[in-house]
Amino acid sequence: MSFEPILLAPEEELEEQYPYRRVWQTSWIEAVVLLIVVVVLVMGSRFISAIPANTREQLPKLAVALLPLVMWLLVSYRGEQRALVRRSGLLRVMIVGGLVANGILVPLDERLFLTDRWLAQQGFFGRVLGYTFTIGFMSQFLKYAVLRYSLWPRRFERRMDGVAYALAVSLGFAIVFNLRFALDGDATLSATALRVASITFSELAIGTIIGYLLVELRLSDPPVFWIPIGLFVAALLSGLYYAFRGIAIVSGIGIGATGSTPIRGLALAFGLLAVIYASLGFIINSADTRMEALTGRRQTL
Amino acid sequence: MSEIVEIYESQETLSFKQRWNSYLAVFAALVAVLAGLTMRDNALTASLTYEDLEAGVRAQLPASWLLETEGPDYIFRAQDPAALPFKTLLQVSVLPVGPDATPANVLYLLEISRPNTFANYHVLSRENVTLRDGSEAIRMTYTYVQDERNPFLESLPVVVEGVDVVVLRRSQAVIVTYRDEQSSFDDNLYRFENLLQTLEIF
Repeated sequence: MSFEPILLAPEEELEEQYPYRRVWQTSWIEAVVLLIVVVVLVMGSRFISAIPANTREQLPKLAVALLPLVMWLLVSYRGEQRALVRRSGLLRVMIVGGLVANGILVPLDERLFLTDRWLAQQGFFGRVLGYTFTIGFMSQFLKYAVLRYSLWPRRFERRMDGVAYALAVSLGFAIVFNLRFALDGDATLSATALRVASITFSELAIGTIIGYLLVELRLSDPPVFWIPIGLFVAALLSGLYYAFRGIAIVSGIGIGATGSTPIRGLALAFGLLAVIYASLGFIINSADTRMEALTGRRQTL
Repeated sequence: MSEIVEIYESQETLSFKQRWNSYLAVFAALVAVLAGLTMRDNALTASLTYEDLEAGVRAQLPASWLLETEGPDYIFRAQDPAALPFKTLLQVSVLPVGPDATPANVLYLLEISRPNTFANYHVLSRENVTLRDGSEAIRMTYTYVQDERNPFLESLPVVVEGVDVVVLRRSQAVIVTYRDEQSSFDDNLYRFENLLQTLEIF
């Protein structure tokens, strides 16, 4: 008589499916793909002559300017449609963001603040403060206003909702700036690509702060000056970015120097994105952990 | 009898802090705009006082501009170093004139001499004006084309628009000049008006 052991398969643990789109993950994918495309376009042209980096044709520049939008639609928006619980209204706030940037912010800059006539000639601190109190603050305030008077507070139920909606409205702003740079100027394709990436990274990075401010206003009990101070901090960050970018893209004096090093500007913008994403990710995770400890309910995974 | 039941989305009332955050955000935006406009005005209209006791001239000039005082045919010349493709220019020069000279005579002299140095020089308008101190002057607007002499720079010719105001002071004619690239001429014209307003000849 033989004895054959009966092998019992271990009980399969069903992994709980995360019902929402993972916002940081999708946004990182978009940013890294944009960075790779731009670096290939700029650096690759030195080795592959088929890359028309120095062309001034409108169509390739238009394609590069719209690349962040295409990436967002393919990664974030499609991801949202596939999620079990969707955040609705993302496309709407992205379009409204673009309209507000083009209809309010750009005319304010060109007809009221006139930054191109005086800001570039200022010293470092003059640039920081000048940009902070003109385009910086107005840009962040308009992003705040789009979200505050459209989807807030109904759609801001979890902390990552704020980040997702803020990224959408910031992308609308970035697309308008990208298109204006690509179509109005006489820049080459590689210069357009560098500028598009810099604009997109900085807009997305600083825009997420606005989403965080609004979602905390919805979920927590911040003081009455929470939004004004937060807007000022975001504007100051954009002012600092503007001033440091001015330093970063000016090359040193040397035999091989060409007057500017825009690749350092790109590195600065990507660094800003990385720092703000990492910082906000940490802050949001800590806030959720605190909330879980207090209420037994966790918001993000 | 059927009864109509209307279903509305529940309206979430805002807390005191949420409402005041909204009000203060709008207030902060207004304050920021005012601060930004003040900084803009300070930057655009920042000036320094230029004084030449020997020539008897005092004027307010844009603070960040390059100032030249060693020229053979002018008392001072201020240029905007950041302006492209033509450096915006403000200049005050003096010509000795006879006792019977009028501002119109001086303008005729300029009209004769300038085509030799400026390509496609054309006078656009002349008008009599009264300066701040009540003295009569003539204001002439003109245009010319500036070419880059260096062929290796491969730059396009620049259309320059200029304005001269000629006023007589004792035995000399004072010529106040403003020149700029024609597309930005109107934008910077206020600098010339500021110069006229602040110019003192003693």
